[in-house]
Amino acid sequence: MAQTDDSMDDDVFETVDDVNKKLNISVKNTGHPSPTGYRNYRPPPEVLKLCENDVIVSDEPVLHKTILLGDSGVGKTSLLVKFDTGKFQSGNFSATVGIGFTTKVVTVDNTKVKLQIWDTAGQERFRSVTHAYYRDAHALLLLYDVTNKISYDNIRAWLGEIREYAQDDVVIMLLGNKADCGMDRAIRREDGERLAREYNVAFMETSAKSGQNVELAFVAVARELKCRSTGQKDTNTFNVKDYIREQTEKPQCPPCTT
Amino acid sequence: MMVTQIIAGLKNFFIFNSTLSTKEGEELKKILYYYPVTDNTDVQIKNVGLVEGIVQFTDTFRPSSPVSSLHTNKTRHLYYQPEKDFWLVMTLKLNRPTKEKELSNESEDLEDDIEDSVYQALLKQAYLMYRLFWGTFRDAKNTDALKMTLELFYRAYLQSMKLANADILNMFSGIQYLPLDKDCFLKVQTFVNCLESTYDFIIHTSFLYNDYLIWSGIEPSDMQVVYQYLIGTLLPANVEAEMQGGSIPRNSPSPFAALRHGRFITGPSNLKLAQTVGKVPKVYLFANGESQEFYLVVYRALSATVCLFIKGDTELNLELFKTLDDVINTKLINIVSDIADYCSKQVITPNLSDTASRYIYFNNINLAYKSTAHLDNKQSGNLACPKESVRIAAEMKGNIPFLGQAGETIVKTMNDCWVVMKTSNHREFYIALQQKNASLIDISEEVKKLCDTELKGIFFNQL
Amino acid sequence: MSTLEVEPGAAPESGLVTTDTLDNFDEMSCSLEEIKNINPSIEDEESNDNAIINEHFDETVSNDNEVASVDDDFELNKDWIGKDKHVFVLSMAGKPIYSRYGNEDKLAWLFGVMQTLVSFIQSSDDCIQSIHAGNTHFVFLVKKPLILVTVSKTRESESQLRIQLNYVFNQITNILTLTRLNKIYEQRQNYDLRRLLSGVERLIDHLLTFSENEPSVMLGAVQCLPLAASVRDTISSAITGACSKIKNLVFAILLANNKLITLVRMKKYCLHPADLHLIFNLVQASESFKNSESWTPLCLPRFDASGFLYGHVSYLSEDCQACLLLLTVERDVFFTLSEAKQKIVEKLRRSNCLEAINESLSTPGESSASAGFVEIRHYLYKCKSTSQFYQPILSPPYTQTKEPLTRIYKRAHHRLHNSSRPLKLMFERSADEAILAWDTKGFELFVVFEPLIDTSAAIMLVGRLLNWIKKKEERLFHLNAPTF
Repeated sequence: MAQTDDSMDDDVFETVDDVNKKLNISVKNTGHPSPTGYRNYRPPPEVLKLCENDVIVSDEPVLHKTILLGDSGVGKTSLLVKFDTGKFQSGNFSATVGIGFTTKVVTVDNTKVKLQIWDTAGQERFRSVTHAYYRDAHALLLLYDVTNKISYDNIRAWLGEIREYAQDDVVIMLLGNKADCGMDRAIRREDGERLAREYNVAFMETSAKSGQNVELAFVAVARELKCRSTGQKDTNTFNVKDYIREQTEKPQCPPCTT
Repeated sequence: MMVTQIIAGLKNFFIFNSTLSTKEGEELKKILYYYPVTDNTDVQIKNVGLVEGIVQFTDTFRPSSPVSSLHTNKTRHLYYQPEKDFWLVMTLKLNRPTKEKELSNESEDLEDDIEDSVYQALLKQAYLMYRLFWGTFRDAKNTDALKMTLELFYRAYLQSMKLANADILNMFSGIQYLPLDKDCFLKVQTFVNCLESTYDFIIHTSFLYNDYLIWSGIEPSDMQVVYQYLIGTLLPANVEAEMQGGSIPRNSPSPFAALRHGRFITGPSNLKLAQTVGKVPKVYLFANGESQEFYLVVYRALSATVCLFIKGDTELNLELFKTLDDVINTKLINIVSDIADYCSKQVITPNLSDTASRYIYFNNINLAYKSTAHLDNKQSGNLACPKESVRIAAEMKGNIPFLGQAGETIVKTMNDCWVVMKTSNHREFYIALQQKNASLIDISEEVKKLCDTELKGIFFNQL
Repeated sequence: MSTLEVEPGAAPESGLVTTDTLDNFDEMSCSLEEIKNINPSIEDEESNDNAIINEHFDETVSNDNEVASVDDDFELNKDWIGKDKHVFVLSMAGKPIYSRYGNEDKLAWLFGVMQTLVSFIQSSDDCIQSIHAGNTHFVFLVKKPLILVTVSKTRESESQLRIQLNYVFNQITNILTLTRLNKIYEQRQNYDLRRLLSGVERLIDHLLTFSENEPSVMLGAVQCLPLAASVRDTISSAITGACSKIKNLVFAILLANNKLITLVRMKKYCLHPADLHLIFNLVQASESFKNSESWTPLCLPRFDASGFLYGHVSYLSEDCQACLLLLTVERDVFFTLSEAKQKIVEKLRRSNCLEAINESLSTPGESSASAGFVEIRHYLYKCKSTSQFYQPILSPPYTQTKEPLTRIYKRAHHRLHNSSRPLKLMFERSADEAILAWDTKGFELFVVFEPLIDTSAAIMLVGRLLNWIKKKEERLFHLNAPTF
């Protein structure tokens, strides 16, 4: 079966929707066409808040801080932009300078979780700035690039830093990004899984390009954080790793081929 | 803040060819000439190595022409490769006003106060002058012979180089012509034709009156070197001798009569006493693509100088000089007095007031130049206008390639001097004006007037 | 020549450091210590600054470099040689740091040669400045602990090229601070600086293009977005209003499309145009600022090369692509500044300033012909006291390519500011155009005319032009220097 990249993209989009339906979660789509005609116009937060209140009857959303970490060029910003806008920023677009700050509200089981997402620059020179933000973080998404062995090898160093600067109970998720790479792959999925097992963190492969597992990564974090904040953690009703294991897409068998 | 760099002197001057030795440890063999001898061989080898490195480094980027200069805080290096693999290098010491600042390794933002092209011209001249007398480096019999002649030539030449007063005139390396009326000019031409047709060993002839060239049978590119030699070295030396009375026979009844008689200034200077033909230099001319060898016989009477380019294989003897003297002398004396008459009629008392405009003119076709900005022809640094104006003129010359076929530039300096350059039809015209309160409009009017009187018809393009 | 009493664009006070012809690149206008001493609450950042050599991480520099295919050998290939301007940065020890074109690792031999040249000249207590070969100029800037070299066929003058190298040096300082840069090499002479500069190549690339094509670097000035004086004042006061209570905020800069909208500053402190150019460059070259509000350290080397300022960087809103930078000496006030920004945007929206900015951004601007100067093709006017300049939009024959125009300006500027023989005035006519360059106490003016214009007409037009600029000065220049 010969398919172009574009058709692959479409397939995966369906998949994401399917997953979301299954999960019974809705992700606020902020990509409204702008009333002023400006690209990506986003109504002021107050307006958004009103809309949300129409749909969901709930309290103030719980605020959670999530940080994206990993070597420069592994696709942290792309992953975030895909999650935030549904769009893929193609090519070698510009690297993050310092720290970027985005908030995103996701709804998990009728509860709104407000994710405050810090997108960090991977470059070493920014590390002293980013360290300051580890302390307050509730969750860390640690990315490597499956086409780049060095970024994978550096994960241990990153985990070392996390241990040093972050809270002990921080939720950590390891992400092998650029899973759409095909032939360029340098790190097998099993290697990622093994590393995650070794450090006892959750793991999945993602693709900001195809959208594979992008929602899932953030939603899983949101769900875990929600469970923790509502004190459900101890009752063990939710386990992020198990959850992921259940929900992870297997890109090897997209729906069309099954 | 003005940063003025002054040339403090010649640091070194050397000639090398890297292909002469490729073996390590035998780098000294590459060096054909090196000044000063006080630099030990290690220093010499290091300096040659630097040039080799720079040549290689710059070649990497395929410049439009080979490397020509290196600037450092304290020195200026000039490079010239006249023949393949042969490099002439000249390093000038710069004297900068010493700054209180500690000697930082940091580059300061300073500009070339010294026009590279002026010193590049000087270096090229140093080569051409050698070539005039000894031929190309490549044609030398062998390396040892080359080293010897280089040593012989440059030891004296470097002493006479006038670094401090070098200016735009060196860039032109031009010739001053004497415009004559038809009559006078025809007389000169007839004289020359007569000489060349009578004596088939005289291949070319040049005719000068004082420092001005009237007739030249050789190409301008050759004449320019011969001219520099005559004006810069040979004639001044003889004029000096004449002044001291050295050439006037003591037993002569009237010194005036003796002066009226011409004499050879290369060859036997006193035919009556001479036992041999004396020193007659050989010169090499190149205009036709290959080098041709001639004897350069120079004859001088009153203010006229006749240069005879005699076939290199001619046998020179006293008899020949005596015949030539007979033929040349009488005719020449007549012509000279005619020329002198004509010139005395032409003399316009130059406007010597300080505010008068001064100009420099140069024609790239026949290499003619004329300057009222320079008070003499001796690179003495005697100027009739501020030195700054002449420097600006040199800088303007550097900009001509960017102006296209024709152009003009008018500038006003910080001292309120005006300098104007016009170029068209391969002619260049530089004017220095000292009218402090003039406006741009006044200046363009003034220049227009000057062009009309001095250079009628030269600028075809109406500017 | 002109009846103007005060040159257009002049103001009693300026938020920008006044720039004149010769710029000493090592002067700093301020010391951060000074500001910190006023508010000693700020913690010492040095404690956190020891991440210089982090042994945990893989030594390999950046990910984009590691997969250089075997066959794209940059060394000496025709394309590489044909580049108009190369720029190289290396350490004193000869380690490659940056090459504008090609892979530094493959050019290691070349970096070696450059280092050797520099140290050879240094060994005789001297310093290399430049090498000249026909159309190619090699300019060296030895600025401890770095060596910067450019190989240029662009016809720019040596001093213009050296200014560009200084900008590159400042860009690196902007990222690391001079103190840290020095410390790195004190600790390890052989350090591979590319580890800390990954991603900065892009900034340097962008900066070089900027300094080649934009007159601002040459003039040492910035251009303002044309706005009614009342609008600019409203914007400035919206910023002062929202920020006046925030301690240690040093500068608030609003810019759009490479033009300054306003600059609000802490009392006593001014920004150097060269620093502002680095900020313009950072904003222009960093698409990522459009994704989200950002927080980044940055050093303004002409302000204080020894330490960082911290910047809250954001675009005003999706419907107004002007970028606001709030620069502070505190490293932990993101949310304070984020709030202030929200307030500023709300105020600007309410007072219709966003629309005014958008309108100015979408208006193409005036050409000199449309302003009534038919014989004037283009001009640059710089007011020295406020370090601002104005230029009309391009009109034929420069609409196809700006390059000839840039070249004329650079040449004229060089002639005017040649450090050994500066000029007051220059009029030059070539076959293609005529240019008048004029340097006075208060302003600099470069006017390009049709080639056949005569000098009296040129002078008359220049007089009229200055009057025209004077009339429009409130709109074209930022005449206030507001403070918090």
